Amino acid sequence: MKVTIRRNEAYIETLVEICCTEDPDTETKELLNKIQSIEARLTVTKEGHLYKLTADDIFYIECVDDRTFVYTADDTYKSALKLYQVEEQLQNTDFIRISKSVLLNVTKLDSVRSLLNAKIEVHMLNGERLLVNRHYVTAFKKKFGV
Amino acid sequence: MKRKIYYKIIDFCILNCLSYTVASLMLSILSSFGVVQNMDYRILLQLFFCMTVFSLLATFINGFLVESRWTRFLTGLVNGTVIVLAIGGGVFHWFPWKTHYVVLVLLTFLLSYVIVYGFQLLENKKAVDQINQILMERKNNGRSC
Repeated sequence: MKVTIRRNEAYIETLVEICCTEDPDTETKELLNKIQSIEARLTVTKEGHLYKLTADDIFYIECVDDRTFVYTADDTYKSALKLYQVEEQLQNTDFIRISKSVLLNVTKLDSVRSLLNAKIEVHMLNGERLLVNRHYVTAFKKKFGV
Repeated sequence: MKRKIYYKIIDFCILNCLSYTVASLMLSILSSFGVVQNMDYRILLQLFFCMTVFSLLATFINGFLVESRWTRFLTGLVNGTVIVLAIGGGVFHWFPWKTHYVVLVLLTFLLSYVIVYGFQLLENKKAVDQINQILMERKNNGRSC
């Protein structure tokens, strides 16, 4: 991949232009996902205040009793959207469904561990642990090209 | 939805290939010791049919199961036993309905099943190691994961 960065004080706004094939290589795909993660924003609330989080801020999103919670490194927010709506909004980013109720940001993973029941346990960068359910294991592996 | 079906098909193909390989290997070993006789292409085709039905049922049933290791293991075992006895014994007449033959067939199936299950666990472990390697490389490259 060729990267050209032009710095000039005359530029008012940063412009990112990517020229690639219809089916780009893994590195380019990762770059595209990263850019889409920066672009994608989710409106959430906490104690009556409204916040806009970028996908890159979010570690994972969980649906509990029909309510959607958004977890960052050390905070929890609420979203008015249903999990499937959030999933649609975060399409083509680094988020992946790991169970019926959890969407995970794979860029916030520290390590993974296989369990005897064919599930995978993921260790997040903030120390939390989540489970990838069996039905989602194949998709999870695929996300890493495995 | 389409992606889910695609992944299910992949899981089914892997399970089908793995179970057929292990089952035909077991049959070949038994045949070399003279326990199984008249082993020819028809038996192998019938075996493939049985393993395909087994894999289809396993893939289908797994979709409804609770996330428990033992439930999954036992359901697969019951599913396979029923197929081996009903299709193998009942339809294809692989063995006479005598206790020692039935026990031998069930033991062979049990051993094959445990080997297939073990292979699946190993495959999962290998994939997890590869993912950890990718995560490690990304960390070393200074990215957030």
